[in-house]
Amino acid sequence: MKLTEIQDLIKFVSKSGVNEVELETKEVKIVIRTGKQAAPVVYQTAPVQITTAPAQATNQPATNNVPATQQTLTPAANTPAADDESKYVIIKSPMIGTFYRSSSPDKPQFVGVGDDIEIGKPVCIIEAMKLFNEIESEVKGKIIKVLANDATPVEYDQPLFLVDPS
Amino acid sequence: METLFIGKNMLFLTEVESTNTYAMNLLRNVNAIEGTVVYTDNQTNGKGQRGALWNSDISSNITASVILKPGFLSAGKSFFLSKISALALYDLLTDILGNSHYDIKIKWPNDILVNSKKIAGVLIENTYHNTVLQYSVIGVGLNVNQIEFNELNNYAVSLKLLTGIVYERKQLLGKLCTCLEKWYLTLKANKTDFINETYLSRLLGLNQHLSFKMPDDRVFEAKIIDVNAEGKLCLEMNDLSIRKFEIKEVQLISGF
Repeated sequence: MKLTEIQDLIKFVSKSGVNEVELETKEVKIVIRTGKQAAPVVYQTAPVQITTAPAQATNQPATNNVPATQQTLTPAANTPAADDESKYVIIKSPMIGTFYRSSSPDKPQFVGVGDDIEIGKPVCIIEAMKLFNEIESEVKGKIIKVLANDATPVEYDQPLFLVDPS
Repeated sequence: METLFIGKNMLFLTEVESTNTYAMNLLRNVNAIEGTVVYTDNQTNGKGQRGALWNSDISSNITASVILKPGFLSAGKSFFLSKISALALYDLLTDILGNSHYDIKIKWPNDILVNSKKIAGVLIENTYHNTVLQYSVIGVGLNVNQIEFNELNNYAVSLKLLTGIVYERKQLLGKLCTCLEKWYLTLKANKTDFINETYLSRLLGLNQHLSFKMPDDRVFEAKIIDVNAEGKLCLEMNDLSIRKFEIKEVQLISGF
């Protein structure tokens, strides 16, 4: 694929109003995301609501921005005030796969809400095509919320954990 | 050992729960060098697909894990580790058995069958940090001298059952390291087209009309035309449409 063709494609996609286009040929795979959904996770003031954007929104117009899931986060006793929410860090899935919170069904969970984690601490497994991918934390902090359910499919870039790095 | 790095550092354990788990712990605690091989005579809790077990008689087979550090591989290409592991096992078996009397095939995604029975399996565990693949543990189980598989006798086979010969396992493991290193270096050289072509040419059922079963027990016929970069099985359906399947979405039930 020529560079000019890719440029044309980007122009076309940005004018069309779609959020995401995925194109795969023999040589290349291109994913174009428009800025309309730049922040997949939106924070609002208390009660905190986490809105996860639809992950496979390939042909939805931006105006029809229906959240795939909505979860209400009940602040725990030790949760900082709502104006501190912005400092939270999200651990996201680096791939498409199935999210597991333990290394095997008979083993304890890697992490739970309230746990302190270090950089490099395994937090979950994403299984994709019989490859078991252990995801390490990129931040040091405390797990505030687990954003995906055990043994369920997750998308690329989907938020998995909310971490308070302070 | 005729390799540059795989198997230069060999760690033998008389007994271990899982060579993969041991290798993962090794990486976490002492940062083992690339190419380190952990192997055992008695794997007491070997891993198959999540929840499934890989059972092996004591001192009969190869149960080993190879530590690799494929930081050059993007997350979207990690299935190539699966492909090259299957190709290495295929090369090893071709070397031992020769091609003429034995039908050696890769069954998607990475089981190895000889004369329609399973002889080897692969289980890979990767670790990601900042979306970068840090290290990869390639767990391999190869049936060598075991002659009784009990309720799995119709589905499993060993080298000894095929040829009647008792094999020296350490020597086979050395050969496996050579085969794996060859394919790993091919991947590192980014020769992905060559890997894909070779994998497909050795794939069970390629371009054949076969029966498949869905999780809801629905059976359909289709033709295997490809295994894509993500590892999905690409099937041409009867209406000539092409559908891509995950492992849990489809099961091959004929053709072997």
